[in-house]
Amino acid sequence: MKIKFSANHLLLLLIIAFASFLYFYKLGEVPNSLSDDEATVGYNAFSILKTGKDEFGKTFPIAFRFFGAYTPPLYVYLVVGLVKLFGLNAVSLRVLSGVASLVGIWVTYSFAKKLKIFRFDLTALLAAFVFAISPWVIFYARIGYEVTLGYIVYSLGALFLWRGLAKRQLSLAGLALLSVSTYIAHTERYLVPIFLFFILIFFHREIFSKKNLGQLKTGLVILVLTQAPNLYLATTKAFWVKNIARGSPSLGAIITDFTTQLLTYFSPTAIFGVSSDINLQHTAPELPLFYSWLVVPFLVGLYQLYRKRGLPGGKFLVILFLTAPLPGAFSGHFISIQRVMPLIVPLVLIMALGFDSIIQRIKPIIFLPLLTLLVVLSLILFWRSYWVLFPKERGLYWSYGYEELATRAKNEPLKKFVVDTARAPAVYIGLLFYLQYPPVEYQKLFRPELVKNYYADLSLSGEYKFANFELRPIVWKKDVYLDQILVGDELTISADQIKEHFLQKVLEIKDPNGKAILIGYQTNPKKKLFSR
Amino acid sequence: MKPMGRLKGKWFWLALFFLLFGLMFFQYKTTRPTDFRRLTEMEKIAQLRRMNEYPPRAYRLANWIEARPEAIIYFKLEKNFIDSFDLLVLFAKYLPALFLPLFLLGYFEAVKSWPRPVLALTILPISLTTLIGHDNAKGPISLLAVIVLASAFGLWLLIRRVRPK
Repeated sequence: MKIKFSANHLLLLLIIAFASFLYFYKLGEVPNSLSDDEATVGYNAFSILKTGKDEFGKTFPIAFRFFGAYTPPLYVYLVVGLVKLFGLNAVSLRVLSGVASLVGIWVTYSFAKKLKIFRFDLTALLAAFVFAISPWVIFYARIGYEVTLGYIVYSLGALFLWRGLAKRQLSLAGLALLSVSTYIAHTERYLVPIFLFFILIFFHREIFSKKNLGQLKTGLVILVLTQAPNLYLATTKAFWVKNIARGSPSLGAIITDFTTQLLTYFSPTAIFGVSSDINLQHTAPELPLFYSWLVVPFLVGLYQLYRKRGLPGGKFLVILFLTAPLPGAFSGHFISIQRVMPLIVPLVLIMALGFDSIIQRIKPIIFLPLLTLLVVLSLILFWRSYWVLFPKERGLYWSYGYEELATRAKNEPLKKFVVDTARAPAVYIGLLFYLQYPPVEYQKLFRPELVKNYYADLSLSGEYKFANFELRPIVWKKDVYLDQILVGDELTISADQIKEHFLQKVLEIKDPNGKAILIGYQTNPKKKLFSR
Repeated sequence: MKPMGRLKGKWFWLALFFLLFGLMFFQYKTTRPTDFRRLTEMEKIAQLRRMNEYPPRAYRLANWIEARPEAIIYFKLEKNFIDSFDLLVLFAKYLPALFLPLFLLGYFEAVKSWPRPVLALTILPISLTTLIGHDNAKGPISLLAVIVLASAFGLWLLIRRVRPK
């Protein structure tokens, strides 16, 4: 088969090259620390590599017990190979998200080409470009856990499915990819059945035609075979952990929560203004999910989508758009942009529809310089938020300082460090990561029953002991009588407690803004005992 | 479909614009306008901190982005503009969420039938809130009026569609 190489392909390659710079430049340095989510992926991949078991000692789990979340496993298993190749470091964890995001550019471009709802060739390139430079995409192309790969594989599956449906066929590759995406992240686990349900309803004529009978049977076999681990998991508590965590709210509360969340996820204010996500680890300062001026093509695009809803491509895009935030909206009280990442591709395609309409009305001599100006200004503001403000202001939410603490503890092996976990319950995993603590040693800390009831025992200890570290809340009645260093944030130990227990400051780790974020105090058991 | 053909009359649109201008005037009078020149104490502290977060070689750019009055005005205008599209405020605080699908149906059909006057009716209140801000206990009254009108039109279209012929 001969592939025609056109100017469009060249421009697409240029977009991918530019995006590669945005996604991989100083990948190990910004974000300037590992979040707990990244560290847990890294340490578990390291543990699998060394022992074939996760941190708790479970052999090749089908869902990882991260902080009790039972996360789908595929990302960790893919990272195992990268850790083997490049070692246990931030780049090994993050590079997969960057590569997936590059694939996402092609997926967006192909969608714009194949949906047959756009007039101009330029629109597909614009869609790819908007996707490539969007803050939401760039931010998550540079993180080392599963959410990015999840939404890209989901979007790729949806693209293949559409390419099949456009020919009135069922795409087996599309089904397989959608099925695989359910093993990457929680969102896709819930989204894929919802999406397929609506596709079956709205494209039943195309799918259930006589000529597709063979493909339907094969598709069903693929789904059953690939979903066997999930079907098994569904019989355990681990599969329903998110529902259990949510409790049993009343129907009224569920409807109110659902409506509020859906309105927020679809709200242009939340998409083009300051994000509604209260977890500051998920965003950079002053950085919207999409640049604010894109609200104009988005609103124009929504109108165009309404007009084209009757076309098969329009119908498919409506389903892709409306189903994407449903798992996020059902998942509880808090807005989390990580749970609605499958919304990115349909949002970009709607903006592209807007551009498609704008190009028709505005002459290129006005449109192109205006677009260039807006893009340049946007990239300057992105640089400000992501490269200047983000490393300085968000270190705390990325568990900044624990690498230095691990180095300090490594250099002073005879000292014992007690780290207060009252406000940082998950930082143990970062210390394990930085120490590259032998997994075989760490696994010994857990009861064998835990491995036996891995998918049923949802309890978490909250206390950890390894190397010269102990991580737990400080017990004042006991800890000040032992020779050790008590470590916490600026709220852990008050001035009165320092005086009362004869503590001496021996450690201070500062964030990039010079603010102390971890402070260590040496106890003085002798003096304390004599003072009684 | 050409819905509500009889509403094409210029008197209808004149009356709507007259009503909208009245509501906009009321909104202007009851809103505490955004002060584009002054920063609050908190904003001043954040501004100073951020100026120091830039690398020394980017000092001029830092000054442009963080401290120039033009930049401050731009950021405040941008926020006011984007806040005009807050679905949570519009369809949870001031109107029931059920209005949203009716609004979308009515609004898109109205744009299809009478693009210029409908877009003008939308742009005017949004321009006002962009310029004066959203500090009004009564909400974006003029914009809500447009939404209610479009929702009513949407409901009318829906009833027409489901009513047996």
